[in-house]
Amino acid sequence: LATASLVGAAPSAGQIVGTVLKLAAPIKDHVLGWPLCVLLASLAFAMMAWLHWPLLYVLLGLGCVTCIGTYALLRHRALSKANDKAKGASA
Amino acid sequence: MSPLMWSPELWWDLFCHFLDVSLMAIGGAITLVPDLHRRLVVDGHLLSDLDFTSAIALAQAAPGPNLLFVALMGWYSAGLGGSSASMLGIMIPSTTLALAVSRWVSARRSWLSVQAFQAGMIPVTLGLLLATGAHLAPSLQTQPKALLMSVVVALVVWRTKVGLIWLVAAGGLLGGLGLV
Repeated sequence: LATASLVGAAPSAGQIVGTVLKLAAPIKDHVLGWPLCVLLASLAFAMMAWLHWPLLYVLLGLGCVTCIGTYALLRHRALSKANDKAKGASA
Repeated sequence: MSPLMWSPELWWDLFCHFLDVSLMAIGGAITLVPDLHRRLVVDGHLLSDLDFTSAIALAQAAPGPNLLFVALMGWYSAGLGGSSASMLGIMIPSTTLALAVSRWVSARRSWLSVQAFQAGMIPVTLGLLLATGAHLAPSLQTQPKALLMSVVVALVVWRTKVGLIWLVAAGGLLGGLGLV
């Protein structure tokens, strides 16, 4: 019975990994660029699956760093866009 | 375990664990699986490894939201009371937050900080989901056929629009015939 139930988890595992692959499609247009996204996802994966860190640390640590980095990048873009516009207006 | 078992301490334990993790369910409750395993199985001994995995497998295969694995974990651990305590624990904080925040966020879609949070959490969530998948995946050494089945299911879910119910049926058939 033990093995029967553990085998029962096999489709669930496949289903979840398949969903991840499906959901991963939009990261090719992600602000951070897809290679960095893959790296960040691998880091999150390693922290949970390999190092068995508590989820809270992963979310607070990696999550914060990622969000702050994304924010800085978005702001940088918005500012340079505004600058370009200003230059265009003055020229 | 009897469904009507009376064990308020266990119920309270379950309630507190699920209350704790509730707000961390950023990519859905299923991203909590590795953390819940550490809490409920490894540290807390509230559930056996087998019951833990069965709860997820059953909730994923059954119709309805896969959040129901939480109710099943409570059920396996402490009967009907455990099931209710677990569901309340996971629902109260996350539902309150969702209700409070969703309007606030939708009114501030243009804010960079809101966009940064939404975009920044995507890769992290993908990694966490993948960790859940890895946690549930059968081992290559002891169950290579089952692992092959996982890989096939992953490819089918990724590349086709075949309904999940057919995959569950196919898995059940293979299991029933003793092929996996």
